[in-house]
Amino acid sequence: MVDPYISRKEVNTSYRPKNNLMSPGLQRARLPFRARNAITGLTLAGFVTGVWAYSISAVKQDDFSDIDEEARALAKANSPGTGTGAQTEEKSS
Amino acid sequence: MAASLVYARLPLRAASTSASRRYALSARRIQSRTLFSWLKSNPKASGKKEQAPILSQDDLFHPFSKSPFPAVRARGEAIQSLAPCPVCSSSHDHLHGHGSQPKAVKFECPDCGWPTHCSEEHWAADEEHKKYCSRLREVNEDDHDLRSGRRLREFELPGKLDSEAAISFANWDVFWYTRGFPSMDTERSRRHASKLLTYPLTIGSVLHQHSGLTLSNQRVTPEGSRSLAALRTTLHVPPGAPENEEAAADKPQMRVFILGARAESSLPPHVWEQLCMLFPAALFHLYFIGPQVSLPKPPAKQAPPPSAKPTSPDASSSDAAASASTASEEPSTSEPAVEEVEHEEEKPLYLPNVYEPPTPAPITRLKRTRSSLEKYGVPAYTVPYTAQLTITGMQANYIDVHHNFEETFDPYTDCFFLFSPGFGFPSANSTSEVTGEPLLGIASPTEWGPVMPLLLASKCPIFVTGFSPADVERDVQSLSTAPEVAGEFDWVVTPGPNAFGSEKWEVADFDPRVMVKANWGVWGIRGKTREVRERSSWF
Repeated sequence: MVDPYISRKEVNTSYRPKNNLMSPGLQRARLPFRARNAITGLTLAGFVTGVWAYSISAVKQDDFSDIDEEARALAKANSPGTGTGAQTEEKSS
Repeated sequence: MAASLVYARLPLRAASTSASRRYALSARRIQSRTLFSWLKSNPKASGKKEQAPILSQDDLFHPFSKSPFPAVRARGEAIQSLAPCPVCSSSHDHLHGHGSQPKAVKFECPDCGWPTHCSEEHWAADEEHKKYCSRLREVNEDDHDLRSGRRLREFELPGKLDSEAAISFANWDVFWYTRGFPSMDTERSRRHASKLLTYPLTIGSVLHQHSGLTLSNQRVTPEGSRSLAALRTTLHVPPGAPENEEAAADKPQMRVFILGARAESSLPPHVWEQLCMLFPAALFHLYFIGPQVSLPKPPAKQAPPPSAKPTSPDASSSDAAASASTASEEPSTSEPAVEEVEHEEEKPLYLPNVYEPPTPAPITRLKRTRSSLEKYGVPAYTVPYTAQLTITGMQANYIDVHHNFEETFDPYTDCFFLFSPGFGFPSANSTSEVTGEPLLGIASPTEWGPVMPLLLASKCPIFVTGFSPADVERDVQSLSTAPEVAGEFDWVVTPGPNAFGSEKWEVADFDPRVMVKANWGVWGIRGKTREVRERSSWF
């Protein structure tokens, strides 16, 4: 007895004629959801990118160029007055 | 090791040869595959031979008189005898006292193939024709496509879905995908499939719990949601329960009364079965009641070849004519009903859409079709098609059979569907005594006048469809003027487009400018509930 109904396999291959492609019927079925899916996708992608960008910026090396000047100035202040005294102090501590 | 392999091989071969013998007995074409033959290529089982189509897909346009199919040629001749030339009739309006009728159409437009004007000069002079010429051409090609002999995948319907499947009723395409229909790749396929399925799907999409008509898009009113919830307790299972046939064991049978049924009563039962497959946990009894319901052929007539057998999809497509009561744009002619008859030797090739076709064409008698004349008192039949679906057809006016049902109506199991009843259309055979004008269908005593109060009294929801926005508008306006209907109903579904209307344009034979889509719009009412409230205070 011939099956009066169409088989599931035939139906599924009709929607996917080749593996990557979508039949026009499937594209039309997806139409009501295209806008919503696109917005959701962009939101998620934006969130992921945001987390990644923050993480990268959080673990990048600190930039000490603004206190380099201060450090050099302090070193100059310390070294001429108590150059040898500082060294003996360091040895004892 | 080798010995054990040999021994292992022997029973396998014995099994495979006995299996192959079984296969050879049952289906000689399918060869069996033994365990060690997987290196050989699989011999294709020769399926049924696909016949070459009569018309190829780029050869679908033929003017009606030159069509290869006699039914189409007959239709062309019917149109030529019925339709007036639009240019003649519009030019006559300007003249007075001419005395001559507009000439019948004879000239076939070369772009669309339909006979649309009386002569080539009038065709060239007509400015309006190009507005609908492309639509007519589409209809022409669709007609030829149905008869072209190709394999019609649109009409290969799927079987039952598993109980977890969720079907969406947002529009046709999403429905076809979630329900498991093959892909409708072209607009033409969509039109064919939508025309076939529009009647069962209109019913299914209104009643289903995942319907596109909801409270949030204001298609369903709060009162309507009560009615629909009542029906859905019979149709569906409580949330969380599996929706399969076992759940139908303790449910009453759902009764759908289709009043004023015309062509939908001749729709093959396997198409109505699709309605039942949307509700795996429900049992259905469909009643087709109307003077134009098709009854099955009497059992004695075995001799003529049953050319009306709905085995091939071609037969089902020609059977499944949409019954659209078309209205003329000019209020001149009467309301016709579409009925397309297949080519049979005794019958004419094509019956034009006229209001009162002589008798509805008989449908196939199935194995278990039985007569129900004794039960209902009118010519009737019942066919238990599957365990889930029983179909009853009664060729009578509803008021003649109402007494069979009036005590058993239950808003939890019963509902009414009226497909294009023409409530607002002037009745052809009853006029009001007061004003002398024809009564509207809903008030006419020969049509829906006595029926509507009875339906409203049953408190079961009544769903009505219309074939165009104007038709829906007209019907809804007529509700407010009908004598016993006016203040007596609550809205269940507000008027609006039906997502599961037919996408195909049905052209009237009396005027090719008149085109409608079956079941374009849907709305629903119910008899008004008047709640009893306790008086809780003195004031």
